[in-house]
Amino acid sequence: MIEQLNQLYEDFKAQLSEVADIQQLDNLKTHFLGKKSPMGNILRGLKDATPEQRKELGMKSNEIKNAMTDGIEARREEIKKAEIDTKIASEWIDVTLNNSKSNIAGLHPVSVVQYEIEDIFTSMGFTVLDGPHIETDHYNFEALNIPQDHPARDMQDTFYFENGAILRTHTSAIQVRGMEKIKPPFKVIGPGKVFRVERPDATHEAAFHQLEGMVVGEDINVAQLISTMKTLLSEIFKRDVDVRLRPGFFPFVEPGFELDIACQLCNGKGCSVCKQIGWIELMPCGMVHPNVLKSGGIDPDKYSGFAFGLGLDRLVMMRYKIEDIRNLHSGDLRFSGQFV
Amino acid sequence: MWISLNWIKDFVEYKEDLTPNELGVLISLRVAEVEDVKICGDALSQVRVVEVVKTEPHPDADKLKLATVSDGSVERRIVCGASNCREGIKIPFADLGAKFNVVDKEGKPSVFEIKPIKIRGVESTGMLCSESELGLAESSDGIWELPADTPLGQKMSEMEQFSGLKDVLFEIDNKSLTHRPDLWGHYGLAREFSAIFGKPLKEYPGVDLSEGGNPQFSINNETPDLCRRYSSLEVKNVKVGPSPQWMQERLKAVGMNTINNLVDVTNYILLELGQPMHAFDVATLDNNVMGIRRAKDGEIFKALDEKDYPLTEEDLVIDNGGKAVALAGVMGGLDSGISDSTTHLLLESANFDAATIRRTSVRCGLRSDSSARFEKSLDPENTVAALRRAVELIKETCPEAEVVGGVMDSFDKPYEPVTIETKYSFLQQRLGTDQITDEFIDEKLTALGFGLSSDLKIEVPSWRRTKDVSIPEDIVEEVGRMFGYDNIAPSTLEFEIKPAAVNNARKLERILKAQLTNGFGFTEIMLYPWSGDKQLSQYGLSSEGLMTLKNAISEDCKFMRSHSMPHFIDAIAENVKYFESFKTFEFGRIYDTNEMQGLLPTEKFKLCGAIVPEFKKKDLQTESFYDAKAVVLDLLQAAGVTNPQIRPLEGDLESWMHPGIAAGIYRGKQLLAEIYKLHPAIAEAKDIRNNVYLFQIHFNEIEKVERKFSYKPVVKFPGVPFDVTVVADEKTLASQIEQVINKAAKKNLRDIHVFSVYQGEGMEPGKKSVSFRMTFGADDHTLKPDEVEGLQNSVMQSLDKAGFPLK
Repeated sequence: MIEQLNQLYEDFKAQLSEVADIQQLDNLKTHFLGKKSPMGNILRGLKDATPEQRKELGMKSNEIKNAMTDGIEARREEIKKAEIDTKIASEWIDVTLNNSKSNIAGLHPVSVVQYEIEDIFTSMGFTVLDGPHIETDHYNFEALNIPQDHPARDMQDTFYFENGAILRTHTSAIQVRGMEKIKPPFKVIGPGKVFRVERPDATHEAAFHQLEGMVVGEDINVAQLISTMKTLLSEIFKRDVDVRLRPGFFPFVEPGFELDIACQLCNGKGCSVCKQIGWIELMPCGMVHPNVLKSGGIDPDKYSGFAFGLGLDRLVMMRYKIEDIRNLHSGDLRFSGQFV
Repeated sequence: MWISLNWIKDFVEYKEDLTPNELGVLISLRVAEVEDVKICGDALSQVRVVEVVKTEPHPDADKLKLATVSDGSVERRIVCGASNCREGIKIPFADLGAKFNVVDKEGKPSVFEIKPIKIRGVESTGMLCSESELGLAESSDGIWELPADTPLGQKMSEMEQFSGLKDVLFEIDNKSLTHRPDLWGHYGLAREFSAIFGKPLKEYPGVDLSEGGNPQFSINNETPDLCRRYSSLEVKNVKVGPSPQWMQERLKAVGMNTINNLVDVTNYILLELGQPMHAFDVATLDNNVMGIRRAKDGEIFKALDEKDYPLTEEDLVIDNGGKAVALAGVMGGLDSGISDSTTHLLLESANFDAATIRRTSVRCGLRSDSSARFEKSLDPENTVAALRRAVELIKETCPEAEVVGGVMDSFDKPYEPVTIETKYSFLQQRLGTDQITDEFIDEKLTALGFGLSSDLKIEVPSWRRTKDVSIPEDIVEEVGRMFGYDNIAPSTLEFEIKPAAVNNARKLERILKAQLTNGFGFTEIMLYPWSGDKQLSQYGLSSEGLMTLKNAISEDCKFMRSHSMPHFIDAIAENVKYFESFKTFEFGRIYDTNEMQGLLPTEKFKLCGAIVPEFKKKDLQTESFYDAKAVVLDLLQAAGVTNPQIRPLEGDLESWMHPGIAAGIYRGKQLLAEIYKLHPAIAEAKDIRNNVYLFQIHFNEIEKVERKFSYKPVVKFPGVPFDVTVVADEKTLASQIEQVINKAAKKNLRDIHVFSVYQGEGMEPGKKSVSFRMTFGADDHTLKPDEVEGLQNSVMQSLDKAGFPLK
């Protein structure tokens, strides 16, 4: 009977080696280890055996059963692995092909920079204001202490409408509208498009973007303006920025300043970008003129403030090294598709 | 405006311990912006005086000469191209080894050395120089012919007669002087130097004219409002000739042409004191009354530039015998000015109204050095000082010149004195520094000409009170700039901690844009807000009522747009040239003149979007409409708009909307957005092959919608699915059929959608089948079989009754 068992095991091994897939393997398992297995037939002869023989045969049959089970499971693993290998081998693709379009696209670079700066200001407690593009002479000039026939009107070649309205020449027009709504102390910014009569070329545009800022409270002073500008510009440029004020004339501030920043390229040592001066003129600013506060219904004896104007397009062009300002309003996706 | 340091040194002692560039920076920080610093006369140390002793033709070039020059001991042969090179003249000569500092077009400095060079086969050993080559003039005509008595051989930098050419020039940004009438001449800047460096300012020079006498002329000022002061002086026995060398050098250095000794004097004083003057030739005048009057409407003025200017009553003229002899403050007349034969002068030194001069010069397009100064509101106290200085300068070339009768002065409208009361503490507080002492304030204000009394009552000097300085804040500026804003230490803003008001519109704008870009892959573009007749007619729009610019940069930019889609479609037409497919949007304003607020239209925000699928993929094209619709609905959802209704777009469609493929998204009657296919006729006209799907969101309407959110508990009881297919007319809207089902199933309809629409084989022509999948369910129990059956029957019967038989 031992021989029978050995023979059975040899048969099993021969058949196992020929099994090609999981189905055949399962069939083989049923055949050799199922209820009607040949092993059963052999073991039915045990009833005539001695207890020693029974013990010996029992051990032997268990040994073979285990070997068969192990053999089947090992084979199962082999087959599975082979199947996966086959699958992998058949599943090669050319990864360099690309047929689906990206679903991420970009904002316009002016939006990118404007929102970023808005976020910096709002994080410091500023409120974002808006104003109309088409303005009255009052909000754009008169209320800002720029009367008719003032030479300062030359600085800003103005678009006039037939009905006497104008296109705002600066976001400062937002100041007085803001003051009419909000009572001091306050901190506001007003970003937006502004317009000047200018033939567009690589560095000039008739429509461009500014960001006006204004802080009004009690005892606001020049030292605070310097500190605030330094902090904000350091955030905007993402590095510590040195600022310098020098006299500048703008009728809506008194005193008025030109704010220079240390040249970002040469760190103030002097290079071709800053014309060897080490400083770059960045923005006009100043202490709000009492007449402007009055225009906005604010008592200049009680309150003072500062205001500043940032040229957004210039920041955009500096950041992305854009060579031609006319790209901004071109509507060309070859341009605006780049700022993802 | 160019400012000469030598000229400033005429009036103030300035110690030269700063480099020219450092001095330029200091002027920028304390006074006004210096845009450029030019160092003149350095090159004089590289040249010596030679005489041309012989010229011969170049053997191989018609335009070149061979010049032999001598400095008295050494001779050199030079190849020279200047047409004025001839025997006997004296010329600055740069010998071999001379070095010149030059600056290239990009502003990069380098050194240029004179070396032997062969020009057309002939060796040239040195260079004969022009004034421009020596950095003394912008341009020169030929080489510089020195006076015949110039001694030979000396280095020019060591010769006394050329010492005036060594100078430093500062170019000051005119815009930064808009408010400073006093700085439009060197004397005013000298006063700033005096205050900055603490050095005394010399009194403005001039001869004493206080003697008076009997003037032969009289002044008739009809318009004191427009001419505060008119001062005049008659001078006879003058002779026209060249100006002195030193004056010519000064004028040339700051970019003023030299004309003759008399005209140059008026220009010199203009540049020195900032007071414009005019000189009439008495021989050309009809009588001895100088009138100041408004021009007559239509009066023609023939100006010095030989052009005719038609005038209006707005303009101010100087009248003599009923004829305008000068356009006041702007330009003299052609016939009454100085000519070579002039011997008898009438000098004018006046103070005209800034706004009038400005309007006239703008309207006539005549911006002169004189009008640029008058429009800044000049100090009327300067008129007589200018006359005194003029006589002094005229006498230098015309020693026999004689004043006739003394100064005629019609000072009709002096400025009121301006006194400012302020406190030291206010000035210090506003600047935010305790480093500025009371003594410093006193010292600087006094140096700048302010009169101080002990309680800081400040008397504003005449040259600052015409408009510039009137309030304590102006004094803050004077003290601040003299201290140096760059010397003020930053100090932190102290502010109450409180939340800043949120701009909800901006927040919503950013939510929508974020969805469009990062969610749906739309790229943002930015477009101009104006339009022209051509575009309007292409899109079937009228210009009537639009905001119209008077001074548009071109015909295409005349009107403010009332629709943004035409611009957007034009941009699409450009982009299809470069991209097979794309998605893009613009968020911009339109200017609605139907709702005017005073002069201003209502500005509304519109979000335009487009899906432009590839031309070839026809199957995708029908889907793209639904893609666009899904985008819009998602955006509305992101914006918090609940329960929008979709129906075919109502009302008159614009020319660019496809009438059969246009949906509106409504809330009640209010249109929130529209989605449509680009009209084939516009596509054709714009050469767009792709099917373009457009949408526009009316941002202001979305913003107005009150955002509501209501939570519903998760349903605990299972739903029962049910499919039904009906036959309908091909133009029946699925939403109409859905409404029938909705009504029939009432609150037990949890969910419904169309899963198939079929038309074609097996269907009657003009008909389609529409299959719905719905789910029935109840919130409080599991539907029993008979309830489900009831719902199914109710739905089927209602559909049948409504004319949608089951298939």
